[in-house]
Amino acid sequence: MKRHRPAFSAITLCLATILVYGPATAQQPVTGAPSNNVADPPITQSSVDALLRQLAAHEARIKELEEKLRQQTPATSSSAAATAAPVQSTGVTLAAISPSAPEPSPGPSTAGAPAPGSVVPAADSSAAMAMTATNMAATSMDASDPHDHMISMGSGGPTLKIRGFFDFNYGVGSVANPLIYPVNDGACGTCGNPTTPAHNAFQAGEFDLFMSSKLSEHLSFLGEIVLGPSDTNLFGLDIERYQLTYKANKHFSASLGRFHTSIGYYNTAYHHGNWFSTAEGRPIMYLFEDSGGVLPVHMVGISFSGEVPHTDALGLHWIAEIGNGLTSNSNAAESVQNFYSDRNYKATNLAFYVKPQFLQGLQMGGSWYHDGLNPSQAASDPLPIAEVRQNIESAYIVFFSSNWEFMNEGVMESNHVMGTAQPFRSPMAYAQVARKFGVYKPYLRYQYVRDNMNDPLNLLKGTFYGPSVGMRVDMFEYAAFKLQFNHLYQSSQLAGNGLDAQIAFTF
Amino acid sequence: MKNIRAVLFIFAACAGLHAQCVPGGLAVVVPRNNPTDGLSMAQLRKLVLGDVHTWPDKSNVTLVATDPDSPVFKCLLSAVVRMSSQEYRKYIMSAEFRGDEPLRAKTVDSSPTAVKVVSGFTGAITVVEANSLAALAGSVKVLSINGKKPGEAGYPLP
Repeated sequence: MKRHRPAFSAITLCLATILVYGPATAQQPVTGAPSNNVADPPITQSSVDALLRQLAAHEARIKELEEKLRQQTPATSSSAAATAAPVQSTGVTLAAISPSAPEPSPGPSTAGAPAPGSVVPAADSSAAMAMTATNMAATSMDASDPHDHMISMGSGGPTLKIRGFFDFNYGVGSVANPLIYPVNDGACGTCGNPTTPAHNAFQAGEFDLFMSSKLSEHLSFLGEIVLGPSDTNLFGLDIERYQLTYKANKHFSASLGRFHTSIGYYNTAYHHGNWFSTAEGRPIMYLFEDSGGVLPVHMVGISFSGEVPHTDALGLHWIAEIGNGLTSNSNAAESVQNFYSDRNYKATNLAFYVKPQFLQGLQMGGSWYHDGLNPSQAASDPLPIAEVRQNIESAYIVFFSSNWEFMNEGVMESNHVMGTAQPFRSPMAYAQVARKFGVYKPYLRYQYVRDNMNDPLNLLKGTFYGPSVGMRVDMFEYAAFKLQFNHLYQSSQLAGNGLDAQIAFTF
Repeated sequence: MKNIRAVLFIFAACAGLHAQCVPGGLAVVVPRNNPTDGLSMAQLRKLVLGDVHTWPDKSNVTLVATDPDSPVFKCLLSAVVRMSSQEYRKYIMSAEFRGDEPLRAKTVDSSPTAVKVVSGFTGAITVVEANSLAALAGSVKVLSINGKKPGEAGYPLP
């Protein structure tokens, strides 16, 4: 075994050297480990054959080196062995294999590598091939999609993957805007939901940049930056998500940062990126906090999740979250407590869902969110209210097949002012059905939100209900056109109508 | 009699839909050092959808696939996950957007290349035409699906 170690490292070293300095090899499209490229070119039969031929040639060379090794002192071998490790771990070989990768500059990745021709521990060539191939996979991630955009620095470091989303709209009517629909708070917060004037306007949607990076085998990061306009015509910048995730195994992972609270299905599946969702806008119950939404759709804290062991047939998953709840001051400019929390009480959320094997596409779940708000101690505009205990229960059932889409969700929010007899209850729900006919996908959504008028915390006052009908047309693979008509009954004003046309795409 | 013929014709047509969609049918292939000998259809579906990321021996699952628009991959998607290649891409992107661990996948230009890559690639899995295994069958392991090998009666893949 000891005899093979030098050969193993020698193979690795030779491969690294050849692939870094050998232009003939660098031109071979052996693997698609991307650098700053857009597409991941396929491995070809000829390139694999070429690599195997090179391996055979270098195996012969390694045998020759092994002979020389026997004639050298043990001190030389141990010193070479010490320098061999970085070659395996830094992935120099991989960067060089990539057909479009720039030639790595001398840096941390290559500094630790011995010079070409150095004598290093070796193993048999098949093991080296397996190792190289494994590393190829580790860096390729989901390279099956030519739409991916990845950035990796020539000197090494993790690969950053970026994907963008945008939508552009034309809205007519008082309930047409998909972003602030149906609330027009004019960014004043305290306005609640006054009558939204009928309008006729082109409207920018959300410019969403989604980034992800794998830092190690178990550690990854994702971030999402969204620029979106409001009825002030100003674009606001939000870091919507930043999550550092450690995944031990499929049964346990932990994420730190700002994430989408696991309330219901829509909130985590279609939070941003309108291109994903069949309909053009969010259900009223899932409006963002700064658009008058009543649910805490974001949380800053820690999220734990995983699959329950021995439930493969049922596909039972669990989620436990703890973090800063929403601010106790409903009129605050920023509801999500990113930095300062106005109380020590932490919000908690427990959720589960099942994805049974017997019916692919079916998912059912529920959650229970609990928080204690203290409006009298709000940083600004304190209310003469002591503690409010907030409980939010949700349940959903969704089903997706190639042609059909069913989504049904219900949420009950209870805000209980301590010292009073009854909590303020606000039920909300929606149902959506869609059927695909080629590139056409007509859909119907009916929604209902009844927010208690006397609830001191919620901005969305009154009852909202009504249908939305629309048509999604997937004109191109990564761009969709949607046309949606909304009719909304509102207890505080006349029923409104709105027609919105939207182009949503990913880039 | 005409009705019977019509019914038989419809049955034949329906059977045709489940017939082999690539020459020789599909075979699921892993390296010889993979301790797994067989999968259920549900397990294969989870692997292809990226819901499972490790093998029982803790090695990482990497799907080595021909181009998503190739006949083999389309055949795999329709048979295992009942999606078009376009829907599959959207599904994978959507999972990643939700924050799920992305599927490890590698694209190659042909089934023989896929088999060759898988042969020396710990944790890899590919689905190819059974015909393409002829020259390389010794270097990889063909998994049984629902306890059946390709060519056996009751083998669930087309």
